[in-house]
Amino acid sequence: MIVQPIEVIEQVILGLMIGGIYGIIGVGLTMIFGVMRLSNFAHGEFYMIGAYIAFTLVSVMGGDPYIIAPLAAIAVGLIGILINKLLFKPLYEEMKEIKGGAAFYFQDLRFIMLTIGLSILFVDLALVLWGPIPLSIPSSLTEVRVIIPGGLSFSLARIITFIVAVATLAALYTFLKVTKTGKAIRATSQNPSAAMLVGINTYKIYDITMFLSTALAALAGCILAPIYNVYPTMGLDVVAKAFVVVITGGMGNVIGSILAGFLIGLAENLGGLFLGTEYKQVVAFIIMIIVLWLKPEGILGGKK
Amino acid sequence: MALGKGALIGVVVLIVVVIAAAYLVLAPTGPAAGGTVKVGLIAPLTGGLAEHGLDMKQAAILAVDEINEQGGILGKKIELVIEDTECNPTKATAAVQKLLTQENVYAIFGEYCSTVTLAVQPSIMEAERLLFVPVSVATKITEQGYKYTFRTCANQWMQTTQNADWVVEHLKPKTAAMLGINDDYGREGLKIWGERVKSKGVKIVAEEYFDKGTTDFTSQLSKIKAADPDVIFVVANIRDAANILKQAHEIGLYKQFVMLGGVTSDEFLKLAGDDALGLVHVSYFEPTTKRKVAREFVEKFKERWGRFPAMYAAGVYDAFLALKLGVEKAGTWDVDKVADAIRSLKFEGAQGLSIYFDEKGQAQTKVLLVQVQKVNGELQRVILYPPEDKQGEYIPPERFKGG
Repeated sequence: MIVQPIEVIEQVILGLMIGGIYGIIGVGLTMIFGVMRLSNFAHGEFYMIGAYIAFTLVSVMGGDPYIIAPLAAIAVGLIGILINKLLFKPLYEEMKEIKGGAAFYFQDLRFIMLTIGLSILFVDLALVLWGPIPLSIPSSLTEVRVIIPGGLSFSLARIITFIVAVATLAALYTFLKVTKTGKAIRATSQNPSAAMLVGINTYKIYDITMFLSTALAALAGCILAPIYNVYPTMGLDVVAKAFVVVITGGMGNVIGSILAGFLIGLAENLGGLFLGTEYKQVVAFIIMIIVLWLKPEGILGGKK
Repeated sequence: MALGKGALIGVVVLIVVVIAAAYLVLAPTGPAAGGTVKVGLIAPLTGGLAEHGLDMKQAAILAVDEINEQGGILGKKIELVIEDTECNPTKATAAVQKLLTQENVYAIFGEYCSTVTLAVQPSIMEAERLLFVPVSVATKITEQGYKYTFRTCANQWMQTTQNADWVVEHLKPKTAAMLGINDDYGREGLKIWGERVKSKGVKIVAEEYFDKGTTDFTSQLSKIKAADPDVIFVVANIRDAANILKQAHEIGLYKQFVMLGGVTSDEFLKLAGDDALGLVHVSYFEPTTKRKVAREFVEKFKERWGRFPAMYAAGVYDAFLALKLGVEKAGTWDVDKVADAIRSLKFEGAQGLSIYFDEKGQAQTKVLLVQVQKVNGELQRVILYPPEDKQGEYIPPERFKGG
């Protein structure tokens, strides 16, 4: 089969659009990993809850999911803080006594089981609250088509989703680089013990990190809901890819995750085009394996 | 959190007491008396397929209550034991073991996923219990020579070839593209459909797959768009199918889509919205049918559960009918005699005029072909085929484009 140039262009655009989403979900996961040093297996569930909250808000108040999205993201971020204070903090305190501030919590079985348990709990909770039947959130923007000469066509919703993803990632990066809180987050990520010594309240930093991470996941869930559907296990469908992005980008590295998101989105689509779409999933994992083989710390691992 | 030891023990004791109390209140009244026969239902009640499990569960409860209201079967009341499988073979095997050994069920109804049915089938057959398969379509289930297995719905081969034949005869395409989920269901579907249309001179110009859990299909659809086929055959569940149609239109792919029976539900129409317009698919069951048993079933289901049944509900209901009629015809609960009696049944079920089984236990039913059209401003499935059920004419997709 001969591949037309326009096909490649279409796949590249679609790949970058999906890459932006991989990035925004991966960044939240990598922040928790870098700052709090734990693997949050329930990350996908915050994405799911964000979409469901947006659905509920839209059905109660009306309006467009793209306008409601920030509200839903903040709501989920607050749930994130609550979980951090109620469930994670007691474990941190106990471990700090034994291992000190720089302990690697992700090696602790209790955190792994706790987040896996949370994931199952949230999926079942969604099943009880909203039922098993998939829901869709209507948005007028999905109906608007942007037609590009050469036979390409994209919905306005998808373009806005991409812009929101890129803008959010840029804002997050600026926040971490410029603001005092951002610097404190980076300090905690680099060395929690030293951060505490210079007067940073690491528990507060954990709260903020948890808020940002879960709110980003929820934001992704909201802006994707009109394009995809909302269903209880939607988080499980994205979390595996999010882990691939985080590991490929370098665990704990924000820029690495963003780059890895775009890289994997692009590679999947071009792999699908040239090798056959049944190998899309495989391509993502092969990239991860190659990166781990050549650079075990990830594309930008080691740097913070 | 610093809870005292005493408080912690108190909390644990409280939880145990609450669970025990709930069990006493909610548990079915007492153990099986001499006058009851237990039957089991296995279905995905949690997990990604829970929406379909719900249909199966509600139809089973409806059927069992109805049988018991009419005095049971041969004077015995039926007690339904429902087990969740999550469409997971390991979980289902454990559930079936429980049904066979602890609950000592007479028959098992299920499952949704073919892989699960195939996994639990040998142990049910070994225990010499009846297995009624109302939903799983893998052709192999009734091809293994098991005496106690009955399938009450058309299998994959039957629905796929009937779909392909209709497409070739009525749409007369020159080229076709295929898109399917990358598992045994999707691969088998594409193989059967592809071979059938190829044998009638249609050229397959694209064959694409997606993995379970995929939400974005644009890369597959973009390849199909480049191949420019006359018709696109898709094997997917309702969630994926709705996404596929939405995203196809998003990238400007307006062609005739055809699908299998898995998308027959009002939830699918709600999910896909106007993007479903023009879609032609197989249906095992239509709530709008004029047939008597089907009409009664729809009314009873709606009254009991407040919504229309999806086609999986009809298959489950027919399976219970087959059990009841089979035992009554045999005049005994002897499993061999009942299996023989079911093979000689011919009855009107919710799914169709005359349901009867071949010697392999496969129900011989004709599927319907329907098109999603707008009737009085609402999305509806309009029956195109067979002629005796026909409700309307086929409308080519060009006429739906943009409107």
